[in-house]
Amino acid sequence: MLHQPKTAALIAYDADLLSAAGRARVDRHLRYCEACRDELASMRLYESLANDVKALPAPEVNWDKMELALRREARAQSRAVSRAKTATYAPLLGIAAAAALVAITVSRFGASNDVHEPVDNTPVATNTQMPVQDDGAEVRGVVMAAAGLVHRDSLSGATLSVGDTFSEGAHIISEENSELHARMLEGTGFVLASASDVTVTKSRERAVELTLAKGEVSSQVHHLGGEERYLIHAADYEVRVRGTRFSVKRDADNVAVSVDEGFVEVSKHGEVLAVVRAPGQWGSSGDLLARASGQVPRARGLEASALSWPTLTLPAVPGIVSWIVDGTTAAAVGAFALRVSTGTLDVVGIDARGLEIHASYNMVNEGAVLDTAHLFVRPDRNVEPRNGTIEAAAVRAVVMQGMDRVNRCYARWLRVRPNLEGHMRLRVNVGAHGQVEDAMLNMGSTEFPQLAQCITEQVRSWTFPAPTGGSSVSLDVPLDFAAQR
Amino acid sequence: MLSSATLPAITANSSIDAIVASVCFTRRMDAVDPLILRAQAGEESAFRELFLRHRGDVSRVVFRVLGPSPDVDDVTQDVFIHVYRSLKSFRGDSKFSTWLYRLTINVARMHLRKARSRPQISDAQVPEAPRAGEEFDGPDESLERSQRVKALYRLVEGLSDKKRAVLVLHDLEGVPAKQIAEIVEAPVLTVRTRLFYARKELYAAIAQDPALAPLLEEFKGLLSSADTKDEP
Repeated sequence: MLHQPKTAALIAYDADLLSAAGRARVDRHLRYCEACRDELASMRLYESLANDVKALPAPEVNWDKMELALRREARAQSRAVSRAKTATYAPLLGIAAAAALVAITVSRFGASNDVHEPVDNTPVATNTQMPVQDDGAEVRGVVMAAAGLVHRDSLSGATLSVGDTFSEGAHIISEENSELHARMLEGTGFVLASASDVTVTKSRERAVELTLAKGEVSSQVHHLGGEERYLIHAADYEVRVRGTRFSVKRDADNVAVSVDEGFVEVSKHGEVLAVVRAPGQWGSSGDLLARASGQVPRARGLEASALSWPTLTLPAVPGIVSWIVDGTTAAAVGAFALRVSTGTLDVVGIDARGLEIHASYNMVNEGAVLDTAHLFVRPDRNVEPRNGTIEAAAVRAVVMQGMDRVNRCYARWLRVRPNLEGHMRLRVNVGAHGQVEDAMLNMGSTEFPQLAQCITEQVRSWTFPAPTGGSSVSLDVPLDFAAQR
Repeated sequence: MLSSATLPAITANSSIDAIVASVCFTRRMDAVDPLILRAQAGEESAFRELFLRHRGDVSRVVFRVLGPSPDVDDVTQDVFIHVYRSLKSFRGDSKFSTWLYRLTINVARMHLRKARSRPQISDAQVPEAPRAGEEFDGPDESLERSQRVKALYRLVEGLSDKKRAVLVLHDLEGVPAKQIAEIVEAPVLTVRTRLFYARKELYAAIAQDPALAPLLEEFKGLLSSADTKDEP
């Protein structure tokens, strides 16, 4: 059995913390133990490298360039504070996403038989003469789905998870590749996109307002029913609110609006700039409009029964970049959790090339965590290559055939490190005749480069079927390592 | 047992563990610092003063987390933009410095996370092993040191977020364990345990890293020569 160096003892030895007798014992042991000498050498090399880092001066920073950008931001924040001090909230029903000086307010929930027109830029009546109304009691928003990391208050604040609630005034920030679905009222909620920042400035039974500081928020607003129907007056018109689905995107002072259902009214300083009807878009700048996302996502869990749904948690799975579950799509860089109804559920993972990986679940009241062993590739799908195509089933057959030799590499290194486990992804370039032209480690642990080298050498001997529709194919082969216990 | 996973897979497997660490700067501010209150009240000059007061510390910590990177400027600027936007949520429940340092670490981590998720970047390539007998490239010590630092950061990148945070704070930034415990809101024992296992993982990684192999051989040689000297 391979001797495992006692790291703690070696640290104590190296730090001169041992008694004379203890030190002598370690000295004697080191003379005959190569593994311990190697460990000690690694420790001292690490110490030396850490000293190198500490001695390295921080790079010169161009403060002047930075100050310009920060001055703009400081000015924007100062204005925001001033506005907040003087603002009197107009009791608009629905969701109002305010961005910079442009306010996007829900004018009407469009019925399904609405005449769809793109954008009407003709200025219409202002709505500054709204009567003050009772917005009702405060309601708490509920997180119905969360992917990645979404914080409350600030980036240093607590993260929001499925089932968490938030109140009026909540400040919600999503990190990159993260998003959040929130339910405000039955039928009303929003989706905060990746790298976005929103404050729930009003959360009442009859009024919800959001202030978007950055990124994108997609809102879905349904009719409130009964006596709570709301009317918006605009000049001679009276518009009945029923429901709408739209997104607002903000980049600095520019704003873009996409409307998938109903229509929204865009106003600035109280003056209506445009009425955007579904399907339509409006943007304060062409560039941002061009970058505006196409389809407006539906907020999750707005049904009456959704608050009692169980939670499905999908951990990060190597290779999968997004999930589609029950019509909800989310990035898969981090964990993704969402409320789903009980019964059979199809979970679809998508990799960067669009290949679908499936798992079927029977959701029960207790909730579930995805077991990656349940994931499978639909056999009728092709691997989409850069140039040619090879049937996924054929690729799988070749990989499985070559796994025996790959296993031998692993077994060899497992003897060196018994707890060696992890994930590795190989990029395999296949030529016109199916020969492997190159194989390299594309992602994964570099702790054992010799293992990667051994495996890539084996992979280079593989032969695939000749690609069709092109002269080459680039494949990614993920390998999971787990020692048999 | 080694098994082939589903085919194909593309993106890096980014850890989603939250880093709850922050960094201890040399300067401390009181939670009720009038400067913060002025900034919260929307006074533009107060924002700038905050920037001037903390920019050096923030950029240094960003550098410690990212390592040698051309993005230190951008990330430092991003930290202050987040500070400006989030300052209204600072209520003085904790020291401002703690709040600021958490923000700094989180913004730096977001940057790393974003970089990892870019599909076109293959930053986990196995580094080329030096040829036999080859020393580190470079004519002078600073270049060699720079290469060694890059090699270390490549290995640190392989640690989990929590271990990396503690290791960077303690071993590279020089923050005492007790202070780190306060920052990451964990017992000192937990901090020490994370530090121990982080180092242990790094020792193993160093032993297997071809870019560091020549240096490691030098250190082994030093140990052997010490043995010889000790022989009676």
